[in-house]
Amino acid sequence: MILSLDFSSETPIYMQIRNQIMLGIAEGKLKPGEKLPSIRMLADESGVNMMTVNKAYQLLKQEGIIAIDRRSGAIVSSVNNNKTEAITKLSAELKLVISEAKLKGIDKAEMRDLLDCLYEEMEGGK
Amino acid sequence: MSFMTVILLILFYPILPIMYFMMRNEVKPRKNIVLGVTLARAVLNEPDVKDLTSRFVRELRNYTLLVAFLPFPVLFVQRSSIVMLILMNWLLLAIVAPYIPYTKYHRKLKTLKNEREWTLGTGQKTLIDTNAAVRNDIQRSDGLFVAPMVISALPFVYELAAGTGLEAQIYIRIGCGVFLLTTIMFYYLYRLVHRQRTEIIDEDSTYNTVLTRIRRTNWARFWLQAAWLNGLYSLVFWLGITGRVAMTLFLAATVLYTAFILWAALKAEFATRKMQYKLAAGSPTPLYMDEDDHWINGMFYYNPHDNRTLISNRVGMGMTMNMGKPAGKIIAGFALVCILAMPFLPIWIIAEEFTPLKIEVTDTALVITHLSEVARIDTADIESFELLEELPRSRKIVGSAFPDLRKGTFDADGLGRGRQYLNPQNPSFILLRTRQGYIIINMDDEVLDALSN
Repeated sequence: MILSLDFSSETPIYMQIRNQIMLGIAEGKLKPGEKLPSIRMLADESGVNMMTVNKAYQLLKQEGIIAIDRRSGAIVSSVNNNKTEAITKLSAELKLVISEAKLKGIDKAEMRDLLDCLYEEMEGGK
Repeated sequence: MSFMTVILLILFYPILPIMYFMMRNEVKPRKNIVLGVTLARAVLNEPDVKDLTSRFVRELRNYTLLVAFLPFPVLFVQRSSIVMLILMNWLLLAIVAPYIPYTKYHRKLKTLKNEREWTLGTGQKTLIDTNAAVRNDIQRSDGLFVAPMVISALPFVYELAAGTGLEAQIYIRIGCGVFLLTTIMFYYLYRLVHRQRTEIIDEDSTYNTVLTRIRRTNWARFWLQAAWLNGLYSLVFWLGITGRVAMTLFLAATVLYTAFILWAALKAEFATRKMQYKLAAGSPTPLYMDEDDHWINGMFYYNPHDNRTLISNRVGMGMTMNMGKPAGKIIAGFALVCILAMPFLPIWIIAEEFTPLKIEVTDTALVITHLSEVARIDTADIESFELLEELPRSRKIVGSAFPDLRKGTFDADGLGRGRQYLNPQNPSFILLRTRQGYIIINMDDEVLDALSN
């Protein structure tokens, strides 16, 4: 998977790493059990501080997306089937997204279409 | 025409063809980079690009031809310090001159890229191939460096523990220490090769993995070869400087050492470039990492967002500094001072060669000065003296040796190692024997009077 970091973006680098790894898994570019570069290796590759990479990896670990092993480094976790937990977390995040959509005049049907479209796009990437 | 001048010219001259072929190679796309400008594969054969690259090659050839004839008058210069002055300046010119057409055509090509809006899909983003990074995390062979490091350390440790008993021991220790540090530095560079960024040319990780592995393997092998060679040369240097092997053998080993290091570095670089060219030309889904804005004139890397200090060079070979980091600025500044000091270094040698030795007689000592005080011999320490009509054949250990100056420690036939402060062109000499060893100086009436009394 190719990570693409934009240093001129307003999104912090650790968040860019976290988001892209998450997207990569959703799109099937990263498979469960696949090894990710170690913190030091990714820091060397990107030229960012090890702390930045560590922050991104810790976030992904907390979210159950990756597992960090001292010997084998970071590994993509198996799909988390705990739907209840995921729904609770996503509800809070989606509330914000829906609020923003409403403020910008996007109605429910348009939002649904958008979701369908994005789902199809991701499944197509698999 | 002196033999030494011919040798120096032979040692210095290869830099010119090396620079020419190295810079000429910059028109061949390396990871789709031509003359330091990242271009999409589709535009590499555009007539305007072809025109700029052929004009660059023409201009580079003209500069090289101009510089090629400049050092030959040195063959008619007698004074070795003047020879050094001319050759050092010529060397700097031979290194710098190719960068004049390079900078000119790099800028032209960059302007053309902007005018034609040959933008690349990824923009100015940093790309990381996670899969290639993991696949290239291969085990280093650190153990292979132990033997060359031990060999390099042997003369240094011996000099610290036992020593040669020479007055010049401090210089011998420094020399041996420098060679030990060089071997350690080669090991550090070997480690650094494995930490260099993965090369990205395609969406397919296999291409990126292979390309990166080729670079790392070639350069890792080079640093290992260099460490071994430097370890062995440390021994030769020590044996040579302490007079344990013949000077001709020492000189021959030095020439071989320099030639092999140069050959191995060029081999590593050109093998890598060849594969970069092949793989980049045949990759199915090219991916471009456009970092042009971080490279000032396509030569100097400036990126404050990049935490790394040492970066793979974009032009030529080896590594360069990230000027966007304080450490990079300091090291690059130091390197610049060293390069700019090159033409001035021979001025010190000129002062050495053109300043006559002076011997002053005081009530208690003979004081020899040359630019500054170089020796003080207490008359009470002198056990005996004798006049020499002819100077014994001598070989320099440490110090200065010019046709009309010898200053320092020499190994003289029949006398062994001792100090000489004299002008060999003057007809006769005085051999002084002291408890610390012998000293030969020029015959001087005032000195002779002082010694006789």
